[in-house]
Amino acid sequence: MIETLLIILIISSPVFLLLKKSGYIYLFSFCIQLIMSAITFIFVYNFLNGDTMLFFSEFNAGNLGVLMLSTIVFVSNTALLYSYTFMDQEYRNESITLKKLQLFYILTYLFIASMILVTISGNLALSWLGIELSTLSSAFLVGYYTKKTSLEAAWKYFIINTIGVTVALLGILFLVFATAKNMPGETSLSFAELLKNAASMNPQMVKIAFVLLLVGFGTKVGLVPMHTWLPDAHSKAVTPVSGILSSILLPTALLIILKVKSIVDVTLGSSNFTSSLLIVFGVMSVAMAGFMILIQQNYKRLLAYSSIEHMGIMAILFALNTPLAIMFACYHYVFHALIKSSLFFLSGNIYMVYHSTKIAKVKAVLKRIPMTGFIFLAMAFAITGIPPFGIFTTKLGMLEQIVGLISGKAAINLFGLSINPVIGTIIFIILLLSLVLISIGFVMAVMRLLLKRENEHVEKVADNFWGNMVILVSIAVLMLVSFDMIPFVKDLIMNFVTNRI
Amino acid sequence: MIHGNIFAIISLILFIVVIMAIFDTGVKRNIVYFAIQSMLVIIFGIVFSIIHHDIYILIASILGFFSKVIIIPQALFFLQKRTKTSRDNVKEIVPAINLAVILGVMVFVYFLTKNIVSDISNYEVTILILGLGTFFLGLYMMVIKNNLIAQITGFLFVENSISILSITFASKLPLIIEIGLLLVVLMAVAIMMTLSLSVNKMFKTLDTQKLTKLKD
Repeated sequence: MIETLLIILIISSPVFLLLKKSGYIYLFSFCIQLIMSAITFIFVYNFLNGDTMLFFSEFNAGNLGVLMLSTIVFVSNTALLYSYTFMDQEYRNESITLKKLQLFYILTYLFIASMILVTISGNLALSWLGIELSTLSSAFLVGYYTKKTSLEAAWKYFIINTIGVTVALLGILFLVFATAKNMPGETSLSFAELLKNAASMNPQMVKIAFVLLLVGFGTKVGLVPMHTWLPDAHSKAVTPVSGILSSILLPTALLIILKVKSIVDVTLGSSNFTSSLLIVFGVMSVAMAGFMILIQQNYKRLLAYSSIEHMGIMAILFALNTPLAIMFACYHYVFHALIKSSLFFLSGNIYMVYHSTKIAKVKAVLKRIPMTGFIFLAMAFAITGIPPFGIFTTKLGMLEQIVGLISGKAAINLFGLSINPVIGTIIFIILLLSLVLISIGFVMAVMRLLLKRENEHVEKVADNFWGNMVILVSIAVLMLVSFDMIPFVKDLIMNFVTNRI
Repeated sequence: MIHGNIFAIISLILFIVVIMAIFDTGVKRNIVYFAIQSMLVIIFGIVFSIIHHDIYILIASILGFFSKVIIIPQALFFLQKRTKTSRDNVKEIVPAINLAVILGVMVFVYFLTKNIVSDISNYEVTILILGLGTFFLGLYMMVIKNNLIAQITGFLFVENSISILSITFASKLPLIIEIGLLLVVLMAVAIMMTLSLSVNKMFKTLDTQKLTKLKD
């Protein structure tokens, strides 16, 4: 069933080339959105009732995959709705031509299709293909404005991610090599088959395969030190795409790492190896983001570094491998996706008024565009994890679980992680300090952006009202998820925590 | 056993070709090196498919011939002519450092392979060492070269090493994956070329040292 959605997205995207008026483009895009939402809704409903409704054996979405699919479709919908105001202003200002407008929607739908492919794929090769296609389709969206800086960002984005994905491909080859001797006939790269044969794989080979896959897909996740493309690409991409890149693309690559991790853990009989690596990369990401956020002078880059921090937190939470940590990781994913996409859309509103992404050139947002300013402030508090927002709970939960593992009080699942108390304490201190630095740096930067710094007269200008309405819908959903008022999100998370599938 | 030695010799030539490309600053010659290497990979694939009666590898090799030996080198020559690029501006990397890196990569790959491989033949071990060596040196080339075309060639060397390793060690992969890989490489090169042309139009050069507008 969900395969139909992929086919619809791929076939319908070239149709934009035939539409010669901007209004028709938005209308057609809106129709695809409706179809996309309807198919996803039916799929998720049936999935929760035990019917996966997948026609091809290579597709096999688990609970986390379906959670990610729902989030991808929701965030993509908000990004597309937001794009109707943002792109229309760009088009009316003659910043872009009709051809560019058509290109935007063609590539965005292909980009969304590639992410959906990863979430529903039950095959490692197909997941790899999805990630590679996401790079291919989004490269031109990063270099969309064909300015010097955006072209530089696009080249960096493309070349670094292509290297990353190639390294991941070598990792897949090692995994095949480790498996091939045990599998008669054609080698299957389906996750289920790999998991079935995991116990008989060559442990040394599997370890190398995991390192290569972690480095390869970790590049796409934006884990430090493979993150260098991320701040450039996220700050230079066209705003609705920045939201998609930051909030849903990065965790999609993390999903593949987690699927491979579950196979490697079975081969090695413990999660110490895989979890330690994930924690190292995670801690480095949070610490580096803390430092970079403090010195940041560009508000879109600020949001990009914040994404690196949150990917680090998710990597650590999944690595801790306790039921509570897994639950926090899933909620953190949903919270981050909704908040970060909203923040990027709000940054688009600011850009529409000030035509600059430099903090020094933006003054008194609260006075000039109050609605955008107030929502931006609230979302900034939410993303840094200031109470009572959900991210506060998940960050606190992460620290609690680390303490629990050090003291031996945390509930440990099969293949649980054991942490050396000294190393655990060091990790705890680094994370705590980094999180405090991030909160201070982020809020200070946002204050500089929002408040009036000089005694000059500031006039109120027209805000992006409809864009803000879309963001408010996103915030409403965030509130509902926070209070567990969307049953299917809670069900998917709890099913994943219990079954790890 | 004889064919095993042939495969090992082809892998060695592939490895030597990458080393030559690393030391050579001529952009046009780098493309020629890639075409030669690709031709060797195709021969490797065809011989392997005949010996092991593997029709999938034969089909993938024939398709690879058209894409890697004909289409991609021609497209790169077009890009080189269009952008009037002749040499890569690599001043700071001295040959001694290159040699040290090559030796370092070989030692690393040797010990890596020695620790993980136990039940494969000698010629397979040789291919594994040389294939991984080609892979890492291709990555090294992408890092040290400043010219966009030379970087694309580095990526293609990496891809060739993946091809040779997948033929030898993952020959039981489904055909759709082998063909999918070729298509992805073609698309990636097409996008890299388009981006290179845009960069050349905007910056009037393909030298990545000039792409320094973005800073924190």
